[in-house]
Amino acid sequence: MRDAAAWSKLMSIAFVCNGLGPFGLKILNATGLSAQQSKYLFWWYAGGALFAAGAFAKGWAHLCAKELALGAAMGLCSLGGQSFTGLSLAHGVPGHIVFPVTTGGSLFLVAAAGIVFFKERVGPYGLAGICLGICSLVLLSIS
Amino acid sequence: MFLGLLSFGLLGVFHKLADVKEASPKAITAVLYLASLAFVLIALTVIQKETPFAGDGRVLAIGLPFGLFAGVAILAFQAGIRHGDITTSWLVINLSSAIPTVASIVIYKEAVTPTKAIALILIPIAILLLWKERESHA
Repeated sequence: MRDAAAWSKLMSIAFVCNGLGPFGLKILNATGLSAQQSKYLFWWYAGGALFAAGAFAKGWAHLCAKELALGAAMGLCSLGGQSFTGLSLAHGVPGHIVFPVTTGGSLFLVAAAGIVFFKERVGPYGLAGICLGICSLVLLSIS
Repeated sequence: MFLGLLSFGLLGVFHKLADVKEASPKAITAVLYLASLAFVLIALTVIQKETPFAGDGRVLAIGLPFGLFAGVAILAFQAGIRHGDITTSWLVINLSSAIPTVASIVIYKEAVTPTKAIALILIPIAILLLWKERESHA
């Protein structure tokens, strides 16, 4: 059963926490530890793993193959996205090209997949929100 | 760069696929983070010949709590898409990049360029439109 109030509540939590997550990298750089980014990434994932493993503590015995496969694939995508973006920057592709392409492009890809493969319907508000959202993120990534 | 785009895009698609397959959000989040942790550990020790356990303790002190926030975000997101569309939900979670931007301006006194200012004005409008879209489907 889809619940609009539950969606708003959970997305608000995701929005705030997902926004706070990357701010650690800013603190790391401001503390003069920018050379330690790989180790930081390890501890960053360790923090998430501690929370998630704790939240799922009673469920390990009932873990399905599909959850294992999908979770591992998502972990690979999460790390792959960060690594490939970092590699692009390390190979001299300017940030004002890399960030708009990866951010804007992935948003477009997911929106297209939602409409084409998962048959989601997007109304006028949603369409305007998606266009405005992609524009704002591209602007943010080049600023 | 395009592999980065594809990886992030596939991540969003897998979130939706996990929901369609009725996978447990807690299980998905736990496996996602443990798998990522294992991949980073392999990359660190095998490729970079480093150990994450040696060095400045401040890296752990910063990384662990902020990673925890990210874990909460993924669990809330995975549970949330059960009640909404991936098309709009994925954008909401990506728009959260406004938070570190605003925090950098407030805490580190980063300059507010005109481009940044326009983006920060557009983000709440986009969120409002996405919320209106979700309400119209209720």
